[in-house]
Amino acid sequence: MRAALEITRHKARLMVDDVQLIAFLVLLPVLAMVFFSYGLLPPPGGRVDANGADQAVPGMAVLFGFLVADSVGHGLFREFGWGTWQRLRTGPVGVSAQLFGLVAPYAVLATVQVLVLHAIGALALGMHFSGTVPALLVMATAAGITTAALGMVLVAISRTTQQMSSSANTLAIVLAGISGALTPVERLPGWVQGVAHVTPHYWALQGYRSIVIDGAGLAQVAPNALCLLGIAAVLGVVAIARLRRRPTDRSL
Amino acid sequence: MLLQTKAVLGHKLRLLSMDLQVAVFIIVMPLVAIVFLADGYAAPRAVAGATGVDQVVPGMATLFGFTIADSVGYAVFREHGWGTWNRLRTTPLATWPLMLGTAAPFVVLGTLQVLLLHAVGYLFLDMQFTGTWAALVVLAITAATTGVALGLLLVAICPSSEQMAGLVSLLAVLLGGIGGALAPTGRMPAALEAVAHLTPQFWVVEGYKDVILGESTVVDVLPNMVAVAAFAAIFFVVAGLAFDRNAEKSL
Repeated sequence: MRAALEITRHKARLMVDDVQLIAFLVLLPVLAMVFFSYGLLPPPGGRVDANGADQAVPGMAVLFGFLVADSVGHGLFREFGWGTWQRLRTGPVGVSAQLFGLVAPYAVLATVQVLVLHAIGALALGMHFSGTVPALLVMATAAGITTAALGMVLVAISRTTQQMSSSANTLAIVLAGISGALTPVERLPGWVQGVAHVTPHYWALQGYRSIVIDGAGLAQVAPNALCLLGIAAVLGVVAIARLRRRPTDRSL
Repeated sequence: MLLQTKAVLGHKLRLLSMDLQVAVFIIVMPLVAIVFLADGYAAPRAVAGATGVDQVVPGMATLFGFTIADSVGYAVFREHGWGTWNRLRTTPLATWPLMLGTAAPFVVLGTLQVLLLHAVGYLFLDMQFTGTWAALVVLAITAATTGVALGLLLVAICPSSEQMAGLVSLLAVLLGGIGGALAPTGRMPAALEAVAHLTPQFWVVEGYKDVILGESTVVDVLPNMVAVAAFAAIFFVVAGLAFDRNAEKSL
């Protein structure tokens, strides 16, 4: 555990220097959210005064939140490329502690991203916020952990950065679309609504949406958060099992 | 010069045909966005039969159209990464054929992207199409040329592909958003609406909407084409002035 925290501290220091990464993770979703909130129709059901921001903010928090998996992937591939992954493997730190240490800062970043988007939505774009802040914090953390686990799996199954990055981007937009992050799931075809339930994106979105328009508190979003953490656990186990074998034959 | 351009062009086309990732980004991503956004918007104009898809298809064609700049830029940065750029520098190849040969396939690809997205919208998503396909084609070529010119400009001024990719994404969303690719300009605050005209995306997306909803022909979209082409000209000139073939760049 101590070793994992030490790796996390080192990784976080590297990330703070990467202004571009931070700008990309915050500036781009904020811009998209602003413009989408003018254009998108309000989500159906819930409150009668719902607006485009009530759809756009949770939607972009899901779309861009899960895109952090791409940054996780790049972060891990860079470790392979620099040879620092291999160097750490020769020490006493286990694979799971090493992985945890490397991806934890991204989970934090993804969590902060969700909070920032909702704060800007509520303060500047007229998004409603009828639920509680702890509920949003728990949902954002669960989603952040899931996106970090997704990034690990993508690294575990991809041979090159390009493969990982294409998969992360395509998955992010397809699953965000299916989950209702772009158009509310109620307006999508019936079969899509069925598939939506197996995506982590759906559980994250429904959680955010219920906080925004239905006044949900911790108790109401707990099932969504648990569902996300369950998916994260499965993804994490798969990633660790695969990366324990031969992770370093991957190319940057 | 023509022979040199042709040689570079052939080489780039061969590379492009092997690159699955480019196809995913250029075709699959906007298609997915269109399919999932189609029912999320209101109709952009008060035209009988118009729906949200009439905003989404032109909007996404415009938004993603400009990200072709990223593919053009990456094609050049990759040569630096492979070390083949230095090899090219030792040949008698002049700068202009090199840039033209690199850029041309992406103009074609960008044009095809716009046509395909509109075709899918029309055939499968009940998008209106009251104008002429010729008008759409000429507008799409102009838009793709502008996106490619932006890519060359960014290659000229960015030292790394990471920086270029970040800038392309930011510019695409910022200018696309202001220009009306994500929401009709009429629904935005007045201040944003006022500056919309200063983005190439505004002229492109309004042109596409004129074609699908306003029965526009090639003559009708000429003003839009001229406005977009002016941006392309500026990008090309600045790219030409700023481009230094001896500059060190990293992938």
